[in-house]
Amino acid sequence: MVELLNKVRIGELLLSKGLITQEQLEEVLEYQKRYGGRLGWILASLGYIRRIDLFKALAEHFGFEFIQDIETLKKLIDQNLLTRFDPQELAKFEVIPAKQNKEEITILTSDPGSQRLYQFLEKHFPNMEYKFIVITDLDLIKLLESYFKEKFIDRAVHGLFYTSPEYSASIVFSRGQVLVMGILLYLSLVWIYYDAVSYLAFLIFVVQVFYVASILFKLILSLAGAKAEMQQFITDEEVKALDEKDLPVYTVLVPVYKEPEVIGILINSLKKVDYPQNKLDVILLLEEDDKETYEAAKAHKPPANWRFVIVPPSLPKTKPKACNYGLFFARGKYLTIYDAEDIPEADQLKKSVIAFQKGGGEYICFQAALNYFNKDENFLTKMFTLEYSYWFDYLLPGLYNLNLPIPLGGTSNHFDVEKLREVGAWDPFNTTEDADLGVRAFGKGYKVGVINSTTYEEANAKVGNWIRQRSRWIKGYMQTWLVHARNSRKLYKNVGLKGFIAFHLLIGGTPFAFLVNPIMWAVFIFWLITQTKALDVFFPPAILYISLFNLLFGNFLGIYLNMLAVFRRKYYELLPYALLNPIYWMLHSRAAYKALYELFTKPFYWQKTQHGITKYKPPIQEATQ
Amino acid sequence: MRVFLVLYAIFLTLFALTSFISNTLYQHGYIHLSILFYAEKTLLAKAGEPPRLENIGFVYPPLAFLPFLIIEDYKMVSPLASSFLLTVFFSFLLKRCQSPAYFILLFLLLNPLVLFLAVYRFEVLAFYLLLTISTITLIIHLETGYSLYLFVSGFLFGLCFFLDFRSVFLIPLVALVIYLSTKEKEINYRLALLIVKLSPVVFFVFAWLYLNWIFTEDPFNFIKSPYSLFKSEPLDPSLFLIRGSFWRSLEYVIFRLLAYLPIILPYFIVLFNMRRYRLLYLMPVYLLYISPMLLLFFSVYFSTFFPSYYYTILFVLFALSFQASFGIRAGKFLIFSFLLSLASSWLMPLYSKEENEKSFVKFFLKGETINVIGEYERIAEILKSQGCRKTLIDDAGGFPVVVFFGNPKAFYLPYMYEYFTVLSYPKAFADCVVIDKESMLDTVSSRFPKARMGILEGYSLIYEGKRFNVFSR
Repeated sequence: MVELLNKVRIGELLLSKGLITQEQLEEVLEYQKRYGGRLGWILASLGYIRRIDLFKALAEHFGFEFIQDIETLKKLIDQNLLTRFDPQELAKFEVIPAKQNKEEITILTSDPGSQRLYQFLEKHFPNMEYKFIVITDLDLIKLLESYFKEKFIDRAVHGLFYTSPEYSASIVFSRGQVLVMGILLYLSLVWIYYDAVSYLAFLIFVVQVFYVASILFKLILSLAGAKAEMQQFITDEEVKALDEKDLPVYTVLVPVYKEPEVIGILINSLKKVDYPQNKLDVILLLEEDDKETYEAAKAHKPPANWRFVIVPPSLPKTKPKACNYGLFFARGKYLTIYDAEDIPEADQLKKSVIAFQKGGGEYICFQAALNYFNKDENFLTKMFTLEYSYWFDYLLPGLYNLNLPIPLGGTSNHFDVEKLREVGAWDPFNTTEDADLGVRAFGKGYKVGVINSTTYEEANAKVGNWIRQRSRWIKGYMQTWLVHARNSRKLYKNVGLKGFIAFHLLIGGTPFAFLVNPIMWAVFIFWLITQTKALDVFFPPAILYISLFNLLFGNFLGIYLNMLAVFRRKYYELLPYALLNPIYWMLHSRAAYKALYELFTKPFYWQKTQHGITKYKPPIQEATQ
Repeated sequence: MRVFLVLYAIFLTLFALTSFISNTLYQHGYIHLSILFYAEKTLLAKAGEPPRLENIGFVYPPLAFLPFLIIEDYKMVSPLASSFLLTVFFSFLLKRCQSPAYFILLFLLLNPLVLFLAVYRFEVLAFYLLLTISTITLIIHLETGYSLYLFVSGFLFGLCFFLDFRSVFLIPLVALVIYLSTKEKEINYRLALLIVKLSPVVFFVFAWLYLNWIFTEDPFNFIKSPYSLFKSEPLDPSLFLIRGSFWRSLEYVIFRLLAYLPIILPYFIVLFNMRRYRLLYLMPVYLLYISPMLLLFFSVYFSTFFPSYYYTILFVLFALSFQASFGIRAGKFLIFSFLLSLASSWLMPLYSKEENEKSFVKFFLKGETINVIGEYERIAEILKSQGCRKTLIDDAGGFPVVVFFGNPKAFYLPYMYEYFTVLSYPKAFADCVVIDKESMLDTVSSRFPKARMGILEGYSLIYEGKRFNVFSR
């Protein structure tokens, strides 16, 4: 270990330089007693000192040189030496071996004096003399990017494909799937040629049987999910009993793109989150061409525990790719993703830590509930809130209680970082990368749980925007279904019969239902208006009865189950809107056809959802207290 | 896992007991005709000409037919369905209380009226059980706020309509209860509660109207049909006179309750004891508790009541469930009343106007029963032995013949388009004709009144029974 040349404590050092006040020092010492952690980092995380001052002070404290200028640093680096290392390892240990002589090695680090630094050095450079140069954590990232940009981006894009190509959505249809589709198409044509009526009757029969299965599945899930209301998975007492000194570093990834209006919401709500700020590692993932958001984020003067990472331009330009990129630099034991406009409940991170502790190593992820702060804005936001309340408060807990694969939601999923890396992280080609990850993780033997905490978001208030967002989700479900259905035998082996059925009904069934719904409704309305007998041949008795059952009870049950959604959150005023679900389902169908079209024409295209269009002010105060 | 095994054992025990009773009585020539009625209708739906679901008639509540569509052996349908329902009911109680649930199960198993319903009238038992659970779960929701209970309550209340149309009479009561019990709550919650609780029953009513419309071309067929419950003749002639009269109906209900008193005494004692229960200072729970009485009142008022003793089971189930679910202390008097109720359930049905329950209990006590299936079986055998390829029969009364014959395609029945053509000139179509001499609703005997005396032009009488005449060409 390094011998401290400067025996002056870092607090006193900063105090002597006039960078902090005595009161601030005392406050931070109290803070340190309660939460643990390093004093300098606490000061920086609370925003009392600038990042640059922290690293300068650290260098002085340890008696090392501090260099800030990137060009100077680059001149120090021996590229041949550096490129021998795995960049991910360097990012993880926050170290750059710059040059090596016979007896001495120059090390650039943003984490001087840490145990992990010496673990790295003992592993790679045992019995050598070390010359340390302190650099800022952001400079470390910049340096690594300048030497390993291609590698980072290649791994962010193709990492999953290299390790598990069968799970990558980069191939939309496998050869087998194309073959099966071809055969089915050929058989259909032959059947239509010989007997078109029986062919159509058969198709209707298949659709109706699917509806029945889907209705029963939803009913079972909802009942199982409703039970969760009676048990708090993580109680308030457990949260209070948590020893805050033992809390691990928690990484928060914030992928943003052209969202300057809303970035402040998350910065403010994360400042209020009930988790030691010095143990929060917030990584803002920005695209290179997104100067506006970068400037907006900077204007909020986030503390030093926020890092801005610029994701280099490459295709596909998707959120999962950005997340994979950010994952290289994650310091935390656990990690979560928030969107720029998210307002997580204050105790969410603590609940997640407790959930992982209770889970005993079996869990890869815990999903928090999502809901909307602008639910009352218009019809669409009301319906969206109803849908989300049902999905996150009833269906996901139902999946969890029945031990079925859980398609994760877009944000607020809390990961065990090591396990996340092990399963290959997110698929950048999948437009619902989280849903895919949930299924993949389940298939690899990990559990996915749910926690009783909510993140409030902005519900889409405009139809066009909503359709774009929904079409991306539905396209993602189609991709996920295609990916995992490629090898059904393997899927069955991985997730069991129950999981297999659930996967097909939920992931495959959701887009399928939205695609066939308008056709079946059109047939019904046509019959209702014309009372024609011409359709009778397509509806022999058995099919007619099942169709009637689905028409009457399927639709009713869909609406009735949706009514449940209001009770957990006491959104009673939304209940009558559940009766308007058929209109909302039509919008889904519109989005589903757009998704289907894009699956063939631009499968990896990320339909961007525009945020910050709500008239409602985000209730940060209420949501986080 | 242990609970599951216990429930499975209970189901098997219940099924063994009820199916044994059903088989034994069948061997003695007895079966409740409603079983054969449902069996015939589902036979028509499955193997009629053409086999269509609408052949069940859309007059009676549809859930009664459902198990017959699945289970072939009609004797086993009610035992199987009832055993399942009682097990579900038991599992529901088991979650609310441990040992009282076993006591309740034993109490129900020893009650001949429960056994009667389980063996022959599963649809009635189902209605009583679902109504009871629906009521209890509504109260639990009001107490705890858990949405699951409200959902279950509303959905089961909706299903009750498909078991007994009279359940709609309870809608105003439920609405009133919700109004009273949520006075302090915000209006949105009250509306939400009302919608969730009542939307299934309202929706199911409209669904039923729609099904009636598409299959019979009249949405109110189930009310207007001559076979409708709402058009049936009361078994008790005195009910004719009080139809539509509030006070006389009330008087009749009071009289009925007094007549039932030994069996339903626990119901009143629980009602009395409920004042100690924490919620019971609230009027609404009392109101819910009186649902069986209210249902009785409306049934009497609309003249759809049958003065049977098995109706007391609804009262008993309410008493048992409220007592067990809400921890009402079982004092000596309450235990005594349950014992009295049990004893009375064995004795009072012997004086019932409802012949089926009377015969059922009599069989247990005296080993006697009436042979109800003999004549039908005999006619079916004759039709087979005579080689009747097509028989004209009105299944309003002759439905058991169709069941015993086994092939509905061998009959001209009123559900068929050509029935009235055949009826106008049977000689041209039917090899054989069966007429019901007793029923005024029998279209064949009404068309050929002399046939009651054994004369039918173009046919010769080949069987003259107590109730039926059979003719062959």
